[in-house]
Amino acid sequence: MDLLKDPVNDRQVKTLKPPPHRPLSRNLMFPDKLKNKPDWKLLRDHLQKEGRIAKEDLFKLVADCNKLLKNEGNVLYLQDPLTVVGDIHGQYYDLLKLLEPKVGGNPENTKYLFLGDFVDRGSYSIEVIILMYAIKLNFQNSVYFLRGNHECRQLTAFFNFKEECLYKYDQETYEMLMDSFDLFPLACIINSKFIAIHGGISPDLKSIEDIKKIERYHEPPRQGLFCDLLWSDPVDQEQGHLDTAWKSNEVRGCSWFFGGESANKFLQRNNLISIIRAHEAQLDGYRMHRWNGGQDFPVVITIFSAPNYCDVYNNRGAVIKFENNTLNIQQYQYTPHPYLLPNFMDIFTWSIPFVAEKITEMLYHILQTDIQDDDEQISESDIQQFKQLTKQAGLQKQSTTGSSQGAQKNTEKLKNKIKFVSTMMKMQRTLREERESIIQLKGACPDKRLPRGILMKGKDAINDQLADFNTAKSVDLINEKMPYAQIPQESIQIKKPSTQRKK
Amino acid sequence: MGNGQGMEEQMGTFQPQEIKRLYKRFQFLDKDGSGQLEPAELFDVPELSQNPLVKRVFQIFDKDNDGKISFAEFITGLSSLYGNDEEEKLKFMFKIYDIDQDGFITNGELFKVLQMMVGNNLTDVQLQQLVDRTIIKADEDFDSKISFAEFKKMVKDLDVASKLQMQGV
Repeated sequence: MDLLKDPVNDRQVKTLKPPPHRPLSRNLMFPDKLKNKPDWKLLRDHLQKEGRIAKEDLFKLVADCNKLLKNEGNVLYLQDPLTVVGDIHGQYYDLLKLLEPKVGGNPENTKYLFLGDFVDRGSYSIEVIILMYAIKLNFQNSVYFLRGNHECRQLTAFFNFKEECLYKYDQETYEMLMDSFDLFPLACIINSKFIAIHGGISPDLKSIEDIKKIERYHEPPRQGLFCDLLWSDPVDQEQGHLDTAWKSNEVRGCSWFFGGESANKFLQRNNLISIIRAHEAQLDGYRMHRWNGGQDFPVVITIFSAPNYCDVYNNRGAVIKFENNTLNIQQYQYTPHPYLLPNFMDIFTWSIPFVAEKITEMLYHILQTDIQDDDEQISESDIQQFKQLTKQAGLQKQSTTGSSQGAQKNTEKLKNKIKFVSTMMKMQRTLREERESIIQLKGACPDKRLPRGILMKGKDAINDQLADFNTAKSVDLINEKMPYAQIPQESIQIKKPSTQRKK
Repeated sequence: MGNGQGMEEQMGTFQPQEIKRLYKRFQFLDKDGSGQLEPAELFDVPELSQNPLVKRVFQIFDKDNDGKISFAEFITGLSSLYGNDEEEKLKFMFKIYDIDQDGFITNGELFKVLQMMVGNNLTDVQLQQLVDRTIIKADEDFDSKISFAEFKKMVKDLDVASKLQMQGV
C-alpha cells in the first residue's frame, strides 16, 4: 500500500505510519478473483489507515448495493443467530471493533442487522458507508440495514455528513448517497417474536401490514408512521407509565413518547414479545426497559453501538447477539481515532490566522514610536549616518526637513500606520480566539455542535462517569431535536421496481 | 541586482520620513551599536518574549544568513510586509514554514513550525496526523512535499494578503 513518503527523511514521528498517499486502485478494490465483489478486507485496512477511494469506485460500490436494497421490502424477516447493531454515527474505528470475532462476530460467518444512524456526529461516516456496503455486497444474504432518522437530507445537511461528503468528494456524491439511503428498509421481524426499528412504534402502527403499505423511496416525512418508526422514543420511566397512550415528544420536536400501555397493546395484537430499537445514547451501550416487571421479558430494548459518543459521552457501545432464541449483550469500549480539526481543517487554514497575528504583533512591538519622538529631534549627524548607510542621495532631495508642516504630516502618517497595525492585531487576536474556542484540543468533538464551555466545566468539577454522561447528554439535548425545515421536502424520486412489496 | 538598487525598490514602500523613523528605531534596538541586529537584541524586546515566531521572522529577514540583520535587511524585510504586493506576502508566509528556504515545505518543517505555535496543546502523534493529512491534501505532484505553487493553491481562499495588511485601508 502506497503510504506517504518521507523524501528528505525529516518526518518527526517515525513510529506512526503515515496514511496512504493515493486512493485505492480499481483493480485492487475490485479484483478479478472476486468477480465484481469488492475486496472488503483490503478496504477495511485501507480505510483504517485513512486511505481514500476514488469517486467512480464509490459510485460503483453504491450502485451495486442499491440493486440489493431495491429487492428488499419495507419489512425484513430474519432468524437467529443474528447480531443487531445500534447507532454508529460515523465512528469508523468503533465499527471495526464491533466487527471483531469476539464482539459482534466476523462478517464471514455472522448475520448482521444494523438499525440505522450510520452517519453524522462522528467524522468517518464515509468510511463507515464504504465498509458496510462492501460487506453487504460480499454477504448478500446475511447483512441488512434499516434506515435511521439520520439517513436523510435534512439531518445530514444540518449535522456534518454533508460537510464530510463535500470535503472528501462533492455535491453529486452527497446526492447519490442520499438517494441510496432512500432505499433502506424500515423494520425487521426477528424470530417472529421481535420487531426491530430505529426509533419506535407509532399511533398509526396497528399491524405490521401498515409498514408494508408505506412508499419508502423518499425523504422521511416530518410526521406520520414513516417518521415515527425513525423518531419515537419509549418513555423514560421505570414502569413505562405515561398519562396518555401517546405523548408529544418534546425532546425530538416531533413524533411521540410511548409507554407500556401502547407498547403492550401493539405487541399482543401482533404476537410479538419485544421492541428492539436504537436512537438513544446509553451509558452502558444498551438499556432494558422492563415495563412488565423484573420477571418478564423487557418490553423495549435499546441498543447503542457508538462508544464515547461524540468523543465526550464516555459511554460503552454494545451489540445484541441473538442465539438459540436467547439474547446476549456484548459491550465494548471506545477505540481512539486519528486526530482531526473541526471541519476537516488543514494545518494552513488553522495556523495562518495565528501566524499573521503574531507577525503583526511582532512588527508593532519592534516599530512602536516613542511618544516623545519628534522630527525636530532627529539630529544632523543621524541624517548623515542615515545617508551613508542607505545611499539615498536621490531620495534626499525630496525630503521635507525644511518644511515642518510636511514633516508633521509624515509623522502623523507613520503614527497612523502603527495605530492601524495595533488595531489589526487586536482584531486578529479576537478572530483567532473565537476559532480556537471551537477547537477542543483534548478529545475534540467531531461535529462542533456540542457547546463545549459547559461541558468543560462539567468535566472539571466531576470525576464520575455517570455524571460525565449525564452532563454530555443534557448539554447535547438540543441536537436530539428534529431541525427546522430548511430544505425542501421533495427528494429526487428514483424508479420504483414493480416488485416492491415482498415478504 | 546590487544592494543599493534593490533597496531603492524596497524603499518605494516607505517615505523618506518613515525610513528615518525606522532607522532611529533600528538604532534603538541595536543596543551594542554594532550596526546590525543580533538575535538577542530582538528577543530581548519584552513583548516579544512570548511570541513563538520571532526566531522564524528573524531568520527570514536575515537574507544572507549571517545570523544578524543589517539595516538593509531590516528595511527589505519590512517592505515585503508593508507593501501592497500580494505575492510578496504569500512568499513571506511560505517562508515561515519553509525553514531551510529551499522552496519546499517538508513534513518535518511543517511539524516543527506548528510545534512552535501549538506547544503542549497537542501530542506529537496528533500533530503528525494533521501534518501528514495536510501534505497529502496539498501535494499535487506526489513528491511528498509542498512547493510554493501548491501552497498558494491551498491558501487561496484564506486571503493571506489582507491578513498581513500593514498599510492603512
